[in-house]
Amino acid sequence: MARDPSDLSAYLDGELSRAESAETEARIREEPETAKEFKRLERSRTMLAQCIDRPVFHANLMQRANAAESGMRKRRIAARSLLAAAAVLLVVAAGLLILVQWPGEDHTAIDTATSGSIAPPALPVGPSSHDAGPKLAAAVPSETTTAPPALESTKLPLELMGTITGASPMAVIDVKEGPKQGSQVFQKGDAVLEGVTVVDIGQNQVVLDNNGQQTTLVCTEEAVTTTAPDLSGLWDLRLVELISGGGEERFIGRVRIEHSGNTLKLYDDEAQFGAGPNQQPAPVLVGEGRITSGRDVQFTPTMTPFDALGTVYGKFNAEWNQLVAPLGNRSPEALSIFGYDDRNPAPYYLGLKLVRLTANVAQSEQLLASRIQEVKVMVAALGRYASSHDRRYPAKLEELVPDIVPDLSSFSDTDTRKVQYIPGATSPNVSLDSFKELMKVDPSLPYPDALMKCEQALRDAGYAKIVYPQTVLKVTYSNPDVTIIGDNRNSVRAEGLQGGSADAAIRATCQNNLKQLSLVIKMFENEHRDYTPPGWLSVYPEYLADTNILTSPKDEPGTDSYLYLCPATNIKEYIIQTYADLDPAALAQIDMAQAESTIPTMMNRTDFPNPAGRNVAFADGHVTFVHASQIPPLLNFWSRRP
Amino acid sequence: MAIVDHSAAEQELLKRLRKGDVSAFDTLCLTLEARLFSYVRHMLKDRCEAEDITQEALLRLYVAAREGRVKAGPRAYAFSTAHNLVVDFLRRSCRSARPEGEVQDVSGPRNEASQSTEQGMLREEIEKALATLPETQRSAVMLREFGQLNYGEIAQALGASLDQVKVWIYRARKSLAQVLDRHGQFIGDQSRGA
Repeated sequence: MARDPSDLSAYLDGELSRAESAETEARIREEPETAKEFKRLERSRTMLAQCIDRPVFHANLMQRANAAESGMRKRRIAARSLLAAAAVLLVVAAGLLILVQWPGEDHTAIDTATSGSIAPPALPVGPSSHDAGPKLAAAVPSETTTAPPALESTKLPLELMGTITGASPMAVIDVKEGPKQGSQVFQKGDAVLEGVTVVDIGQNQVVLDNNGQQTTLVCTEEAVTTTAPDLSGLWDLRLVELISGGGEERFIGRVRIEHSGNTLKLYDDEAQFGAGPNQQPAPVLVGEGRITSGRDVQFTPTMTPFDALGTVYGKFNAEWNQLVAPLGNRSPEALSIFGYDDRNPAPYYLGLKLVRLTANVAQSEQLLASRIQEVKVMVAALGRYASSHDRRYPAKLEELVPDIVPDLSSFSDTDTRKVQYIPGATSPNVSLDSFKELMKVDPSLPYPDALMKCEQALRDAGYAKIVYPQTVLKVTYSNPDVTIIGDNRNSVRAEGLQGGSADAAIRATCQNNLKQLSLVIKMFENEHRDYTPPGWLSVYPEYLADTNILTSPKDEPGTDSYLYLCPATNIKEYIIQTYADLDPAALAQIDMAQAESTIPTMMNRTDFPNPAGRNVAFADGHVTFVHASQIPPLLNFWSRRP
Repeated sequence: MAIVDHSAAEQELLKRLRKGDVSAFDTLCLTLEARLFSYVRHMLKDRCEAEDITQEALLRLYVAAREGRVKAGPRAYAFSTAHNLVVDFLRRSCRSARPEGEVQDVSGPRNEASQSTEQGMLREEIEKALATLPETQRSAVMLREFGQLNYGEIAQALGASLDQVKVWIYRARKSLAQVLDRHGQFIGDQSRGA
């Protein structure tokens, strides 16, 4: 019987009944054409996931939601007042009706009941109908015709954000009530609220005519400091380009702001990645900020990533050394700093934006970090299994129980995660005997040359073609849509992260790889008269069990992703020689222990785009991320090493 | 193949939002905004307009949730509101359906990784392919893939029957697969990192 072809697509979406699903599954299994068609549909589906973009309006949206909330609150208050007023009127009207209908009767009982229950006690409803009408009529106009009393400045729903004095003075006032809410610019004579106009604008103060009385709004630094929102926390620094209405934001780095009083200290949060194995992670101060009386934040960059931006701004404004961001009245989600190139015929704005990592983002990052930790534990368990089973990985995760892990409870499929284990083939059978034979150092040659000869011999024997098969453990979480991948290069990385986070993840994996390679170099040096390996073949498999750590996760398997600067070199000679070339004057006072931490041994071949720079491994084994601006002259120098 | 079930978490957020917890809206937006925005962006030519409509749809969700008017899931509410806003916008600006075959410029800021690599090229191909689909098919398949709505919710949003939705999604996927076959050279192993 001919089946509905759209069933395949509906099956893919889980929209078929159990019986229909079983039937479709059978067709996919039995009919190769159907299976092929199903694969094509499935592929078109995964491809669409590529087209998801993240918009940049989140902070703005939250502000609008807050505004909507206060609007709703006011409507609710208004509705309640209206109801109360309606209730009062109803009672008054009922009272009047009774008085009109039964004049001269004694209404003591009714009056007591009404005034006691709902009507306000002061309402002048007397026992006589002749008195009641005029008294009520007289009371209403006297209340409505009188001008509302002037409010004290502290009670005005206004806050002075700052002033601009000069030829045409202006004041920025945050209007908190009325039809036009929000921060607005006012000049002399402008009406701020009904009955409130601007009379004079001075330095950080505004004189208002408040229904005939003069009221002064003041914006003092003290007031600003005490009312300034707390800016402490993690912020993403982005470069914003606005060209003819379009815009683009690029992630530059993440900073941690410490806010105390009116001063801010900005630390490079990512610099902590680069701390050496024996170093305490020291936060790197990248800039300072000050909240001014005009409710601005003045940033003074001291080093990268901020100083790189100073360089960018320098192209547009040579005197640019302070970055100023207007600080809103409420706790800001983003601080924007804009520059303008007036020499360019087309309007070209360049800006910086600090975007606060909301509690939710921080929370989801924390969640992701704990999930990554779980995968790390499982990858380590797989590694332990392989080392005790002749480098063979288990065919399925269940084989890990109970020798390696007590159970798989933390990895069982649940609603929120999907575990996929793809075991690699058994590792290539490399004969350690033949390796040792080829690594025999020829005593007739100088040591470095002898080592290079060994490396060549290994290459000739076909060792270069050995690529370690990967064993992959993938854990996908529905929210955030991130797949955490652990493989047998002992790296665990998260895929599906956006922009800067993705770069940061790759960068972290590369740093991990470089750290492991540094250890390999150290082990080789210890057994080869302080000489570094002539290449990576000489260390496999004795020192380097898995050649996959030579490859960055963003490169194809088998790619040599790291530039090795000192093959077959005595490391001490290498350091001294490098110092002699770089800074001969410093050679006399050279402290080897200190010098080791300044001379690179390996680095990423390609730059990371955001922020531009490379991971560099140093002779002491520590790995750090070096910004592009610091690399070019040094790179030329380092890469000239033999 | 399993459908990702967001409904429980989203219903919980909706409940919190109903009680006035604004942080629940923050989380809800972070969950929905990228997919919602991608849906609107592919329906319209204008990125700025798409941002406005997405914000408007999310704000309407906020107000409706606070007033207890969201009966179904917040996801379905946001997507059907966005769809209606898109239709209104297209009607207003006399830009109903684009002529078949006309390719829209829906490209916008992308992250560095996708811009520079073959992934970026592949994405361009997919976006072109999407733009060539008839509007009903495009709406249906995008509500499914971006919105992760089920067929019932899609049928309600588009005012169509379940069978129609099923066929539209199938046809859209088939057309996309054909276009992608033609550009097979761009389809590498997408499972690798950027």
